[in-house]
Parts: sequence; C-alpha cells; structure tokens
Amino acid sequence: MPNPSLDKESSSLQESASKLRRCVRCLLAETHDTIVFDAEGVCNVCRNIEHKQQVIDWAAKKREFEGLLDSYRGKYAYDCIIPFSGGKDSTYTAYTLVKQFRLKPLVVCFDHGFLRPTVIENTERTIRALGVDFLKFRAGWKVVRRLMVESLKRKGDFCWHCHTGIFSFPMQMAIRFQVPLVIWGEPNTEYNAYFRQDEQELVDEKRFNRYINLGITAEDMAGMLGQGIDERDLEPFRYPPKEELKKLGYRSICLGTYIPWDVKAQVEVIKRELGWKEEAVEGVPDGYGYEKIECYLQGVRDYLRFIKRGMGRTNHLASIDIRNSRMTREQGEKLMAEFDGKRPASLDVFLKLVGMTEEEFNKIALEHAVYPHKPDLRHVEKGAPLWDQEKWVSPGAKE
Amino acid sequence: MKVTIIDYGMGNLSSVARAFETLNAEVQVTSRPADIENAEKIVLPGVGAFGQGMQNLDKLGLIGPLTKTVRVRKTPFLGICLGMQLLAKESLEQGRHPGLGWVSAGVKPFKRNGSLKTLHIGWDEAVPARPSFLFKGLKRVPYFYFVHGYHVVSDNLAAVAATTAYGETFHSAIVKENIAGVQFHPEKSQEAGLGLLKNFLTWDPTTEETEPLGTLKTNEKKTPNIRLIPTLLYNKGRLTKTVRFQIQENGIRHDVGHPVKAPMVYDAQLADELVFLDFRATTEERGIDQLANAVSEISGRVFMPLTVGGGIRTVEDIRKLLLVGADKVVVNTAAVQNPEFIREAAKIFGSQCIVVSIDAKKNGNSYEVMTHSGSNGTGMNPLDWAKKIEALGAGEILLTSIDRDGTMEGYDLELAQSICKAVKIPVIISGGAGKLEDLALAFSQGLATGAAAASIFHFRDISPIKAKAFLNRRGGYPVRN
Amino acid sequence: MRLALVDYGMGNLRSVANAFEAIGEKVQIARKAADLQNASAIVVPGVGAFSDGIRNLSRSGLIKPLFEEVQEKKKPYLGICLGMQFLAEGVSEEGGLDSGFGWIKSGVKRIRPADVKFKIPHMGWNDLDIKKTGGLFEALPEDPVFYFVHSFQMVVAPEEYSVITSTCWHGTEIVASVQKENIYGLQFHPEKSQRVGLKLLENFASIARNYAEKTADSCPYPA
Repeated sequence: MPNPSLDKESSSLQESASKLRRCVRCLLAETHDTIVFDAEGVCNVCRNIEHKQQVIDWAAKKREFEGLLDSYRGKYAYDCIIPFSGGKDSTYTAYTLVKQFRLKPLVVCFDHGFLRPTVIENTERTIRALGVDFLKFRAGWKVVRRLMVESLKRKGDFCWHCHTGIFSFPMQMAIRFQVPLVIWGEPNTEYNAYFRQDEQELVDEKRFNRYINLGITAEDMAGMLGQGIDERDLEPFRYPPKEELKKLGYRSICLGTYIPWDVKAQVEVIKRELGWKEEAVEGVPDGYGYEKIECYLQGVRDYLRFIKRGMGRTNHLASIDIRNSRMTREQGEKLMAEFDGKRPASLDVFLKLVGMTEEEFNKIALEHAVYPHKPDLRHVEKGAPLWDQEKWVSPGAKE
Repeated sequence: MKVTIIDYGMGNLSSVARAFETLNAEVQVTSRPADIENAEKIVLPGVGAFGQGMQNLDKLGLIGPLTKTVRVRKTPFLGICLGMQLLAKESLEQGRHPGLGWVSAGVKPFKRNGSLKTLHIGWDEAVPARPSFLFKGLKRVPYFYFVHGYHVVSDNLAAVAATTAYGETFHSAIVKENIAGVQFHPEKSQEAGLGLLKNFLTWDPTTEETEPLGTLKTNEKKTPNIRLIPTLLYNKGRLTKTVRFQIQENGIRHDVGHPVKAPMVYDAQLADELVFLDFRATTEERGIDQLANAVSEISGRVFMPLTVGGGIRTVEDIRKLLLVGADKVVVNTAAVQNPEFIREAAKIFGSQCIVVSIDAKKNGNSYEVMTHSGSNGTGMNPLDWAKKIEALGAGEILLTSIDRDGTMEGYDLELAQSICKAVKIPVIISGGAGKLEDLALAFSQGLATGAAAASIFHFRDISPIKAKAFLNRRGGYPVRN
Repeated sequence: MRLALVDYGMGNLRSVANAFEAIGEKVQIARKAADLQNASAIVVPGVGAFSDGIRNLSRSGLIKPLFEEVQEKKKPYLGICLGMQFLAEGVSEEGGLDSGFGWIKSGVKRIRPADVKFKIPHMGWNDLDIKKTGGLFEALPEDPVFYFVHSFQMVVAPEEYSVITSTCWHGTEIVASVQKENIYGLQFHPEKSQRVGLKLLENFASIARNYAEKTADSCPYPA
C-alpha cells in the first residue's frame, strides 16, 4: 500500500484550493465527494457523462418512458407528482411532462424559506401557464433555524432541512393523495458518482440515505435537537415508511434518465415558452443566471463549500461547460480564479438569521475542510451584495 | 530461445526434443547440474515409474540444482507426464514415494471401475479450468494424447489449469507461478501439442499473471478487501459518542442518532459491516436484553453484517444475540475474567463469530488492557492478551485505543501495528479516526484488516461511500464498491 | 408456496427470515419432520461448528426427512454457510470426524491461504468468480460482492467440479457456491449482502415457486 503523504500546513483559502489535484478534463477537485481519477487523470463524473453521451440509446429510453407513463395515466387522482422548486430543472420537468407527455400532475413545492423574489414570480408564471394544481409547503421557522445550526455543526452544511424536505415531502404527498408515480428532474450522475453507470438511479430511501440527508434521518435529528422538540416537528423531513410506499406501489424516477439533460437548451425553452426569467447569483459570472437562483443563501452555501472543498459555484458551472465542450479548461480556470472563494455579502444575512458570529461560522467551516484542503480565512476578499438583498425577508425577527 | 531438456534415464526424450526443434528452439538435452543452473527454460519429460524417476534424479544430483533454479530463480519449468507427477508431494505408485513437492498434490492410481481399464491411453479432452498460458490460441477444449496409469490430484485448486475425466476427474494440467505440468504428451498431440509447447517457449511468468489465474477478476486481487466499519454506541434507546470512553453529557456528542435509522443510513452508504455496542451494559449490569431487542429490529431493516456486544456473559447470551440477527459477538469483560469462555464459545459457535475486544490504555510507555468500559485495569498488556485470545480460538480482535476514542486525532498506529503483526486472525482497529487520511493509515501503517470509526462519520461530512472513493483515489486499497 | 427455514439452534435464523420477509416471502420455521414434509422448499442457514450443527440436526430428527424431501422428492434446498457445508461427506479437522449429508462428493477443511495477508477466518466482502450464471445468479449485477465469514471451506472432489457455480479468492481458491440439481449451497451470506444478496434470495424463491407449481395437484376441472 502506498505511504500517504504527510499533512500539509494550512494556507490561504485560494492558495489551498489551487494546490488540490483536479480532473485533467473538467477541473473537479479531489475533495469532491466520490470522485476517483482514472489512469489518464480523468474523473469518474466525466466518464459517466461520456457514457451517457455515447452509450445510451436515447430513442429507446424515450419509448420506455412512454410505456411507463401509459401504465399510470388517468388511473389516479393525478398522473404523477412533480416535486418543484421553481428553478430551471423542475420548471423544465413540469413543462415537458405537461406539454410534451400530456400528464396531469400535482406540482408540489417544498419552500425552504429563502426563496428570492424572481423565483417566486417565475413560479407564479409557470403555474399559471401550465394550468396545473399546485401545492406549496413551508416548515416552521423556529424548528428550521435550529435544524440549520445543528446540521451546520455536525456536517458543515446548514441545508439539512432543505435536502430532506425537498425529497421527503413530495413522497408524503404521494401517499396522502395516493399518487404512485413521482417524477424528478435531473439524475445525480450529472454531478457526482454515487451510483454506477449500470445502476438506475431510483429516487428512493436508499438514495436519500446515501447522500441526500447528510447521513441524518428525521428520527436521528429529533434526538439530536433534544429538549423542546416535539417529534411531530420533524415530520416534514421524514422519509415515509417503506411499508406505506410499497403499499402505494410507488415509483420515483428522474426524467433525466429517459431524456438527455441539456441545461442550456432547456433554459432557452422555459424562457421562451413560460417567460421564465434569469437572475444574478452571488459570486457567479454573467451568463449563468439560471443556476441556483432559487435560494438567497446560495452564496453562503457556496462559500461554505469553498472552505470545505476548495471548489466554488463557478468551478461547478465551468466543469459542466467543459464537459459539454462549451468552454476550455483554461477559460474555466480563469473564471474560477476571478469569482470563486469570496466572502459573500449574504453571509451577514445568514449570521443574523441563525444568530451566530462570523468567528463561530468560520470555526465550524474550517473543522469540516476535507482532506487535503487546509485553508485559513485570514485574507478573504469580500464579494458585492446582490441587487435584491435588501428585499429579502427581514432577518433578525425575534423568536 | 533455448530449452534445456533433462535426461534422467526415464524414457526416450527425442520426440520432445524434436517437437521443440520444429518450433525453432535451440534444444539442449542434458544430465549435468551446471546446465540446469544456466537454463532459460527447463523441460522435465519422462515415462515410467514414479519411484524410479525420483531415484534417478537423486542419483544424478539434480534435485538440488532443479529446486534452486526453479523454485528460487523462478526459471520457467514444464513437466510432462511423469515430469508433472514428480511435482507432487507423494505418489502411491508401487508403495509410497515422496516427490519434489513443489505443488500440493498427490499421485493416485485410477480406480477399477467397470469396463474402464486402469491405464488411460488415447486422445482425450483437457478442459481448461481457467485461462492459462498453456491453452492460449488453442481450441476452447483441446484434445491431447495420454498414456498413464496414475494421475495427479491437487488440493490447491488455484493451481489446476485443466481437468480430464477418465472414470473420475483428474488434474491434467497444473500451473503455479513459473511451474507448469501436463499429464498428456504435447509432443505427441499434433497441432494442439505444438501450440502448447510454443506457448511455453514464449511464456514469461514474471510479466504474465504470475499465478495461473488468467483474467478472472477474483483472482487478480492480490490482497483481501479492506473493511470500513461504523461503530454505533447504544445507550438507553439512543446512540451516543464517547470521548476516551466517557459519555459527553452536553454538546453534539451526547446524541448521535436513532439505533435503527442510523444503521439504515450506513447500509445505504455501503458500510462493510456495523459494530453495535451497548457499551455500558457490563458497568451498569443490565445484561443483553435491551441490546437483543435493538439488534432484532436492526436486522429486520438492514441486510449486512452486524457485530454486536456489550454485557455478554454466557453462551446463552451469545446464542440469543445470534438468533436475533447478529453475525458476530463482541466479548470483553467476560473474556478477561474467564479466558476459557472464549474457547467454549468458539467451540460451540465457531471461531468466526467470536470477536474479543481489547480496550487498551496507555500508561507511560506501555499499554494496559482495560475492562468495564475502560474503568478497570487488568494488569495485562494488549500484545500478550491478543496472542492468548488467538490461541483460545477467537476469530477476530476489535482493538480500541481508549486514549484516542472520540478525539479524532488519528488511530494509535503503533499499538495497532504491534497487535496486527503479532496475530494471524483479523484485527479491526478503533479509536481516533478524524479525517480521511486516518482511514488510509489504518491499513497502510496500522496493518489492520478493518477500520472501525464513529466520530468521523457523525461529525464530518464523510460517509463510508465517500471514504471508499477516497481510498480508491489513493490507490492500493482494495475496497468493495 | 411454503419456504421452510430449518431451526436447529445454530445461529442466524432471524436474519435469514428477515431477509426473506424483506422481499415479500413468508418463511415457516421448521423444527420437526412434518414441517419439512409440508414445505415446497427448504432453507438451512447456520453459523458455527459443523459437528455441533450436524448433531443438533440429528437430535431434532431432521436428517432423515431432509434426505427424503431433498434427495428423493427433489425439493429445492438452499444451504447457507454451514448449511452448504453439510452437503459434504464430512469434516476432517474441526474437533474430530463428523459426517455430513454426502450429497456432494466433498469434504470440509480449514482454509489455508498461502499468503499471511489473508487472515483466517475469512471475514468480509469478497467478489465472486462466477463459473455458471443463471440459477441463483440470474440477473445479478455485474461483479457482485458478498459477505463471507467462515474458517472452513468446502473442498469438492474433482469428479464433482461441475457442481461449483462460483469461487472466490482468499489467498487460496474457495468454493463460494455449488449447485447439484435441486440442491444449492452458498458459502457466503446473502442475508447480509445488502441488495445483491436479497436478489439472490429472490431467485431462490422463484425456483421454489416453480417447483411448488409443478408439483401442485392439477385440478381436473379448471374453472
């Protein structure tokens, strides 16, 4: 066995990130979960995408999908449930399923509590244009706030309530409305490699436990929060019991398993057909106004990720563009150097919301830096606030 | 290419020599030890009686040089007919005779079986048991010419390259590292035979698969899979995480999850096994009933190996835990108090399900084995105790460094290495894993067969599946994916 | 269809029952001859020592009915770990000499890897070198990995090599599964091998179901 190298000394945020080993093709770093490089130095995400582009017979996949839909269409209260955030992927999914595949869905939105004004408007337009039934749910802030702090401390990720709610709540609605078919947007193989190429990615409890919920279930979380928590408070985040889902005969799949996922082309479609609007995102170059515009804490999340893994949102976007031959590696590197790793102005909003100092935040974030990334936060450049920051729900509301 | 054919007075060698000559090999037929030592490729042909063959080799003073050249220098070797049989440990032909013993095998007569003659003469199939250099480029099941009354049976299945049935199935070709042997006569077997001899001429055991195991995936693996094992500490209906074996009354370590849900998460995250311990059961004298209830629920939800312990005192306790779904049980205090308990339990349930845990605490420069969740000293040192545990028939050791437990400062690799080196049974090491690198070190430096970890999975954004990706990136750590 | 799960006091009955239940198959715990006679397929799990196991089976009076139901009536038999080793003629090391069923010409011996890197017991996950696809291995994912925990292995006589459906490597080649007509043996633990293990049990259940359907009395007056 190889003799692993010794620990590195810490170095500044950008510098530490620049020392990481990266995919020779797409720039993903070694700190990216589940990444493995092959002999040529190409990562497994690139290889998965290659597989998708070269091996999959998309015409056959589409026929398979049509056949599958036929066995559900018209038989239940709704043909399917579409989990919906108002972002580009779920908007395109809803659009395609209604307009192209002629389904009558129930569109279900789990509201994480930090929706930006443009997304709320986009959702309004989409729901009207498609004429679908729409259900929106938001969990109580007092619990959400505690969940954010708890998951930040434990996993260096404050979004547990969002990850678990988004994937649990629609399944709960499937049971409540007795609609067995649930159709999600893009499969995860687009971004990481938790599943093998030959494994179909079912959106089920195993996937939920494997990498959605940070390894923490609602039942785990109930005890972790301890005092003052009623088990019912965690209900929106609880994946429904297997027995109930089995009884329903549920099927939970990704549209992207059956049609090739091409984000840029899809964004053009929803802009043209639904009047969907782009929006600026914190710390991201122009031209990506479609990615992750649905949450005003996205900038904080990306910053946290940069401290943990030395990879920012621009890195993520560039990687996708490089894989799809829309950008060269050099262009990507340049953009990353310019945009990634800045302290977002929205961090102030976050700190006020959860009641934490920046020192506390930094300390927790640094604890979660993934080996061998070892940054320090002494000299971090500040980013400019987004135009709509002042319109966000006033933080600091007293409990 | 030069081939050295050994002439030891056992039959006519000229047809073997001629066959090689038609393949443009430079042939040397010799009885001189020095020639053997300088050979590039050695062929040992022969027909006749086993005992006589060994005696002739001995008389010519060839056994030493052959052993040195073939076994030490690893010169490619082909034994034909008697030459193959001589590789065995012994033969029953005309009494018992020891052979060269290079392959774990024996030579037996054919059973008298109805109309079959006891001599196997004629063309027959050699069915390749696995891909090997011998049969490269030949028909899938080639035919060869046989003449023999005795045959080789090896208990080293990995060395069997082909089998042939004559009343009973026997091993008609073997390949082990640089040593090959065929029962049939390639020099009499036309195209297939020449093809095989040609393969021998070009065979380079050092660059090819050294073991004759071909392309089969299982066999390419030279080291066993490592194991990543989350440890769950069960305490009164919930899971907790200690620091140096102390329960933390406040903070995030106090509660780390639900006893059934957390195993389900690790199952989905491809953990290789779970260690589930009611670690205060002995200290708090609560027996194993609570533990058994929890295990029963877990085993209905996850279908993966469960190693459970805490409070086990009797054979009945073990039986009960195995019945509700445990695969292995961990014994600690009871084993220290009565080492014979290990022997008794291993005898009844098999070694493979008896794990003895060693909780080791550092005292100055030495270590001491502790019991009762680390509170009672025993005066024993872990190394002696580990050896004793092994001798008593335990199947595995779970070695925990009390000083590192929950600290996330890394495993005590010195302790781990000393124990892992000293015993032949698998050792799971535990206590201290805090970052990905620690998991790699557990194997590369600690020499563990399994790495147990808790804090890194509880308090970092790291899961077994992510840790495995890390070990894959590192390379050289065979993990189950 | 009735799946009988033989309880002879050796170990992990519950896990195997749970695993079958997880794939929607009810099992019946079998403790006496009649339970085996009423079954359409028989599963013998087990961990522990061969000798104790055989003695327990014998004490429960189950050996004769096992021969009748499996050898004569050809009911599907699935032996897991110890349940596979029972198929051998006997064990030659583990605390004396004890006879197995002798349904497969083979013995049971301690594993002796050539290389010390391979520890004994063989514990952990190992991949299979599948020699014969189909049967229990029907529609399994590529390169399946299963959980093993054992110190003894089945050594199959050369004339019975055709029964070996897979092997694995643990410093020496180990027979990981066998099949001889209606008799299936697994050295590894499907009930502990996560999803792929459950798939294998599903395959056995469907083999059992086929048997049950074939042997069911056909109604002379179909509705």
